[in-house]
Amino acid sequence: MQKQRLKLKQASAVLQIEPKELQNLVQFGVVKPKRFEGTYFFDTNTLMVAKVAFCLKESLGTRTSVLSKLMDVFLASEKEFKADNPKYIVFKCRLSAEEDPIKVGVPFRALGEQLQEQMIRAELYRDLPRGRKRRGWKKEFLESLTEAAKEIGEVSDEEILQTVRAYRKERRAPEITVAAES
Amino acid sequence: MPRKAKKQKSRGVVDTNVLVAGISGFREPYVRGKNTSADVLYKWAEKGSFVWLVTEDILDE
Repeated sequence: MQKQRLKLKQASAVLQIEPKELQNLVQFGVVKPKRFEGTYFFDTNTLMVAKVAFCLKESLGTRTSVLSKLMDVFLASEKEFKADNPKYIVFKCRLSAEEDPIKVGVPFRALGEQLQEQMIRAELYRDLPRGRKRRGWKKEFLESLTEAAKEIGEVSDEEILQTVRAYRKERRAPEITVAAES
Repeated sequence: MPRKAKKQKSRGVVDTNVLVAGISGFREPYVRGKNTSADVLYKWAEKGSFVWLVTEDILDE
């Protein structure tokens, strides 16, 4: 992954998280981007922390107080994880001294790959006035449509409909499994 | 004196079918009336004729 420093909006586009959600993770100390002249900058390490934290929050509803502890531990080993690039990383979390720890696996490699794929979004979310406020917006928009149309090629309305229907059918609900582990 | 009711713009979600069909209408120079979905997109760009709402599912698609 390239060395990049992204602003919050760019980072949220890359992470595919609402800017407000990312801001909350920052405010609660779960994600700790560097701050320069009042602006947060997210490097690749911070992006990965945010990705893992958001995955835990979204999938399991993990509280921010717990998340920030988990992310501190994760950050301490991140370099090692990056080098090994394991398929999964497993958080062990003991909630009280009397109990055995619980284990939660996070698909580290897949999340890293998602991040890499979405990096191109950073360029699209530069700090420009949004939408119609930007000079030449309409021309830009119509040109984008023409370019996209060329990429799509010749397709009939029926083919479009079938493709969208097939995609919607394919989209499955998340699976939950449990398995014994010694 | 009763306050003048503010005219609200219509709001709507453009389904992925309409969006893709509309985009494909721009493969050749745009001509009004040739592709209904392309007309929707052109009118939106030209006049902001409605507030374009998006859903997570549609963004995903």
